[in-house]
Amino acid sequence: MKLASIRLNRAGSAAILPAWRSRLVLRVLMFGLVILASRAVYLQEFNKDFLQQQGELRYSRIVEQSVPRGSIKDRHGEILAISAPVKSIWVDPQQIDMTQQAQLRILSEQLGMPWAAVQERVNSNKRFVYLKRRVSPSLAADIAQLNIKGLYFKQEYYRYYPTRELAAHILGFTDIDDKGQEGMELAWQDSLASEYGKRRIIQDRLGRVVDNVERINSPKPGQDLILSIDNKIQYLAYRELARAVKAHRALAGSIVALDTRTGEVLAMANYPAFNPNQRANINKDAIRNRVLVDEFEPGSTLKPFTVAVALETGRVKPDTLLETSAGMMKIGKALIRDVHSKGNLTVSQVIQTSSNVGVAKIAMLLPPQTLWEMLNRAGFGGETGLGFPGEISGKLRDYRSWRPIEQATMSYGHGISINLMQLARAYTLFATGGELKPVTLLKRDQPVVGQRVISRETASAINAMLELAVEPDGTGSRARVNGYRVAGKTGTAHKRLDNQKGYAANRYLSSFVGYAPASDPRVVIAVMIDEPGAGEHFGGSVAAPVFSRVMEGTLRILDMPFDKPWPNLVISPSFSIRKQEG
Amino acid sequence: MTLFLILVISGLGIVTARHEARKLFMAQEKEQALAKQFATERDQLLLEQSTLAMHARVENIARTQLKMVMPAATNVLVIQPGKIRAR
Repeated sequence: MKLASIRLNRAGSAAILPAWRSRLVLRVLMFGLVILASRAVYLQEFNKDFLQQQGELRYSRIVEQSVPRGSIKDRHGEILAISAPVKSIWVDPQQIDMTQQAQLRILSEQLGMPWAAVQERVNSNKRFVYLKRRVSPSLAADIAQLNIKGLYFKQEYYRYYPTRELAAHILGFTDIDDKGQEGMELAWQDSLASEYGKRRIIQDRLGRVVDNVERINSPKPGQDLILSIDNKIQYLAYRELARAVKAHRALAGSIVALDTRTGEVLAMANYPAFNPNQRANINKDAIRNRVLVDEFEPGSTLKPFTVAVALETGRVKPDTLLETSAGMMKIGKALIRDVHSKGNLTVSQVIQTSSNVGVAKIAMLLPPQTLWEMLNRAGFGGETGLGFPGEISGKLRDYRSWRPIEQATMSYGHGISINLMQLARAYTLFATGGELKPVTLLKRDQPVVGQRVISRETASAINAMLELAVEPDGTGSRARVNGYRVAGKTGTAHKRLDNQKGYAANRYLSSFVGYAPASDPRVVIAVMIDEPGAGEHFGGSVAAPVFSRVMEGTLRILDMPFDKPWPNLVISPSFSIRKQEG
Repeated sequence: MTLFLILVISGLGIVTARHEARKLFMAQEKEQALAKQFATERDQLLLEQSTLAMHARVENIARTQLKMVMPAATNVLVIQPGKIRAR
């Protein structure tokens, strides 16, 4: 009862209070309501996206599924290029807590980045800044131990080339975003490249993935590329080439090996080369795959084609005698000479001794169009179809613009420019009985039928001449290989002057192209050494020995049966066993 | 009343099913992470293998440490199965 009276008292006293007090309270309450309402409107209308996104961030997340770029392998499955998993470190500067400065300093030390550089990135006002790309997985694990807020890892891949400079020119390399920049990496970018997948997931409080909401796009791993290259032959070719270029103090050198049955490129090397694993300091000049992107005047290695077309059209026979005893020949004002005059030569001897006069005489028997057609059909002045980026097709001028002297010089390989691959491919004509095999850098394995350019008879006649050229009294005697019959041709061409007017007197391109075993050819190898500077410059003394060593190893690797007897010191085990039995 | 009971039961059913699904999903996720880890390891081992098996390195070891030499062509004998039988 007492309580009730007090209440009554209060109510009674309220009645006499001034009216403004209740109005004031009402206004204060209303004001509060307006503030709350406007805040609600503000959050709902203007900040909705941000808040929803923030809420979703707590449980839903889009994760990237990284898949590696396809690897590149040689014909036996040995790895030539592989994408190794690495982590890229990125920060969300908005989330970085500057009270963690001690940890950040350790981070800068571990990454080997100056403190100032780390600070600059961390203080940026973006939401995504790379701190360092491509660190090793073990270093990334150490850094994860630091527990730095706002620091994240992204799975990426680093392209690694285990064979280093050996196959660098074939493979090329990729840039930091895993895009092919040169070579096969560029040519096959579309199939090698992988597509990262994306999916939306739901996470629980501990960051575990509990549900897959949707797959935004599924990951597409890059496809592996199997090349026709044989890593062993490639190594052998590069090693011997590098040795020769250094020994002859040459500017550069190139070598290419083709399988005559399948048209596959077994090896293709250049020196100087570069290490594609260290992309920062790559010399522009060393990147060039000289086999394909450089053109040169082939010199004498082109002579067999002139002779082939002369045989084909029946103008000469292998034993036709030519008047070459003068050792020189005048066409208009120009003079063609031989290094040594060897009297009158037969057509076979012209090839064997590499006589310029002889081959020019043969060329002058032919209409320009016939010679041009032969060279054109042998693939000079046209693309090789390898699809290699930057490949040059060379220059074979239209026969209608030839002057007589040009026809003569072209017959021994001047006034025409080709690349080394074209030269090697053209020699498949003589190695396969007249077919021009289509070449490829991808594993093919099955023999292919080439395009017939010359008859089987002509091809075997040239084959015999090319075998003579490698005999002890031929120009290419140093290309011989123990146990195998070899056919081939040397070439020594004067280099053009830098201004393209005329030829340099003492700068040469030494080359050798040949194939073996001559009884059933399996491999064509072409070697070219640019400006040998250590005294020797003839193709027979600079390029032929490289050919010989690479061919010997290649035939052994391919398990080719010998086709030439030679003295051997081992006694057949079966023979001695039989003796004991008897 | 029965309807309400069915509702409750089916509701609980959904909850359990959902929970089970998430548990299974997590297990799957874990296995996938493991698979990925193994794939990474495999890549690294492949890389290591190819680095160790570099021809230049193998040749160097064979020649210098193991003192191996290539047999000269004169020391090679070709055995032709057909010929042995014929003799």
